Amino acid sequence: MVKILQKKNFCRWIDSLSRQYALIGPVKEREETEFQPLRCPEQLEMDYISTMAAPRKFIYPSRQLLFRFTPQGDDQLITEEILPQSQQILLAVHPCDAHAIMVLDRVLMGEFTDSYYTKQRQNTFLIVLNCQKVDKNCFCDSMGTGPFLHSWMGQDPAKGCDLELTDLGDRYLVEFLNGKIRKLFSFPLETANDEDIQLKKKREVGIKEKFIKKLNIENLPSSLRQNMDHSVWSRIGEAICLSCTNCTMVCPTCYCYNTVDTVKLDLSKSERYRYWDSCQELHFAEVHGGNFRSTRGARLRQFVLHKLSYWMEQYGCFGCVGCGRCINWCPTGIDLTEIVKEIRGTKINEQYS
Amino acid sequence: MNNTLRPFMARITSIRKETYDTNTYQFKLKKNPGFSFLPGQFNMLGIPGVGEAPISFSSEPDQKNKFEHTIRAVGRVTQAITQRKEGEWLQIRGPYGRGWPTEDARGKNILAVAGGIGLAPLRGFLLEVWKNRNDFGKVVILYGARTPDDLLFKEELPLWRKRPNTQLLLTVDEIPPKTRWEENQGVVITLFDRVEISPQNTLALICGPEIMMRFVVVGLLQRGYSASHLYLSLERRMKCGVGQCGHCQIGPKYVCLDGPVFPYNEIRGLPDTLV
Amino acid sequence: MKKNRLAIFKYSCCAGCQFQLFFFQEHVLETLAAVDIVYCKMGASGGVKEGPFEVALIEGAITESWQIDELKRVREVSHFLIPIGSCAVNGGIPAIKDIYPEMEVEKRVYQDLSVIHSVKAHPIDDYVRVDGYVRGCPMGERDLLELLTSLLLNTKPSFPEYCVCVECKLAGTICLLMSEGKPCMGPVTNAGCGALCPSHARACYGCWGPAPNVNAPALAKKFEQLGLSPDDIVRKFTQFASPKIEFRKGAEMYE
Repeated sequence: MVKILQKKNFCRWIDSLSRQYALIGPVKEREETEFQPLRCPEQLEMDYISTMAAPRKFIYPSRQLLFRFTPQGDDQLITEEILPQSQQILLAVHPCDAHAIMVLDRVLMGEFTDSYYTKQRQNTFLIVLNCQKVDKNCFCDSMGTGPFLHSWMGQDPAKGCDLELTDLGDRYLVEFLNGKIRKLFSFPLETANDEDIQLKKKREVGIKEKFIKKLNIENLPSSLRQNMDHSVWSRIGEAICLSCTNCTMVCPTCYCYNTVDTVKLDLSKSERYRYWDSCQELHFAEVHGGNFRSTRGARLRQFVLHKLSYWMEQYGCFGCVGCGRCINWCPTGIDLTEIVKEIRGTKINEQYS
Repeated sequence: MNNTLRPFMARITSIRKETYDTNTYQFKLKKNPGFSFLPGQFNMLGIPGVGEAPISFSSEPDQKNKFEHTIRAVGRVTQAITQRKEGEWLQIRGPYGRGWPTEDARGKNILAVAGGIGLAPLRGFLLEVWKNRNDFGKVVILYGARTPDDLLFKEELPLWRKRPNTQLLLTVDEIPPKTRWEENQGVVITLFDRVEISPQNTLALICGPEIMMRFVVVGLLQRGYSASHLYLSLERRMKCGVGQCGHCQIGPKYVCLDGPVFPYNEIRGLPDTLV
Repeated sequence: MKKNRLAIFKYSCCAGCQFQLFFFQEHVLETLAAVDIVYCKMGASGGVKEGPFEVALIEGAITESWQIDELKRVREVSHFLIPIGSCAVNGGIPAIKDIYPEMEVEKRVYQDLSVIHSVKAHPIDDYVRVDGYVRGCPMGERDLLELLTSLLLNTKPSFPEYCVCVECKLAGTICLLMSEGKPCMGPVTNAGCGALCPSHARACYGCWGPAPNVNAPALAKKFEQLGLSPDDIVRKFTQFASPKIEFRKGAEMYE
């Protein structure tokens, strides 16, 4: 069902959602725009380009209490599960980030479901906003996840997103992807006509011409696998990479976590938390007596190959949605598209094929 | 919806001291009467306030709700576990992962190569084989430890040697002064020439430090073992056991889901591993 | 239950870490209930400095030879020996002097050098084996709590050994280095403070010292691109941990 929402009614429309749900959307913060809980719809920055933190943090929090354990005598242990309770709507999520959430769905709601993620995901509506601007490091067009919302690698957006908005100047084109969210709106919208739908198509063609950053994904998983020993890994790893973990922390599809237990000083209670971990962190692949990725080069290779190669074998899609955050936020300017170019430009080492 | 991260409580019914830093713990589950596992699989064992660690089963699988773990106290969690006494409990969840290829091994000879604590995950498999002795061919066990004091299952080893159609060869890296030792000295591959088994129709099951497994694989391939007949059990850091914390990945493989026991062909050529 | 005996020894420093034990907010009473503080000059005069101790906390850098002798004795009578705070862990503020010849530094302060027997400032683990580090300037509350609970549970304490960037991202703090071009030491500095300065829009000063295996030269080059002078870059890497090789590598290129 395709509707039209006049921009002058936008805040009133959004406000009607806030009665039952926590609203989260892009908000100005210092020099950036970040996803935050909204105090009022007027805060929304609908023409934002990108954020530092991906919206995943509202479904998969950076630090999360899992269990509280209370021993009772010597024999009993009370285990409390701390499942997320909030009902929320994520507003103005760009198509790359929406696909990233659907990538996380494949990881955390697959054969084994993560209760914490699943509970929050089921209580989250996703409102997608098609992009109007392209940043210098955006390459969603190359990956196929944007700049407008479409199916990607077998993922139907209607099975993970609820609403698609397209800016048409003085109005939004509103596409209900499923019936779940429609009942939440307090007032009826006008029906869109053919002209509106044609205008959306025109806008998409227009924006696709603006991409500067490109990544050639043809045979990418296998060509990276053939270049495990390429000099690019050790060169960038030793001289440039800080191992600061920024790339993985801002990545919208990174899911790795570590757990940590804390205990009260009187030992009466303990808690088990998890927090985002990073393959760039020195101790990530450490076991007693050894570390399987002790060099920065090996860790960088793990990040790039996981996103652009292994993920395909594990989950049937890329682990990269082309949002450009790992490039934007790398203090020393490491760019995985440049790494791929360097690898593509060299003769493939037959020994590892 | 079951919370995959939620542990059960399991009572420690007995503790056997294996070496100065290694004990075997027998557990009995309070709940979950349907618990069953395969040799080579593992549990996440935990203590509230300390954390969880992946530990392989070291007992045979047919005792319902009863199982053993042989634990070497080297990390934060395992050191805390060794302070627990009989009658006390630990948190467990599992079983997880893929075990030894018991079905593939039927009708074949078995060459089990273990180093150090690596004998523990193989013990359950071997006990299972002897229980169904006619289903399997000859069994050869090569077991290496750092010193004679580091050998696991010291009371059982002489019994294993007496099992029908079984050869057990022991070796140690060092012999401390005043220690009696009549077996081999040297790394485990120095036992290869004494193995009385033909490489054809033999599965090699290997578990130990990765650097040891690397040399064992090279040695076996040189002696004519087929790469498709080699199986290795790998150790990695794990926080979840269900393919979500990401720590145990080797290339596209999750050690917790696709392993810990891998056919050699599945992991050869992958990065960030020594084998 | 027998209480653990804890002693605190102070070498060259401001004594702020020792006070941190008493500024330990909600945990002060719990701490006193959990351990016997048998020697702590800033807390009470007297005390038993001979040992044995379940845990000896060492604050301050080593800058005089008598400190080395005492430190070695304390090591022998302590089950755990833990350096607390940046001076003990990394050399800290006292080690700023390490980049100058020792006598030049002595002359700046004292007229009569005949009574001065100073040596270059060194962290504790340059002289004795240690059982972990409670980093911070002053030492971090979370790490101290971890140390105490580990002592009670008889487990190895687990302190974070990643960089401050991790804590900024977990907290959702916008990266000052990339967003505002502020010369932030976060990428090379050990976490534990909860990214305190960046959360107040101040670039990290590096006061907790280096995380293991960090790449200081790459960050120093980034500072150069941001327009910092060589002197400023050297100061960044020698302010809190000048003896540490990880930070030295950042300073060396600009000295």
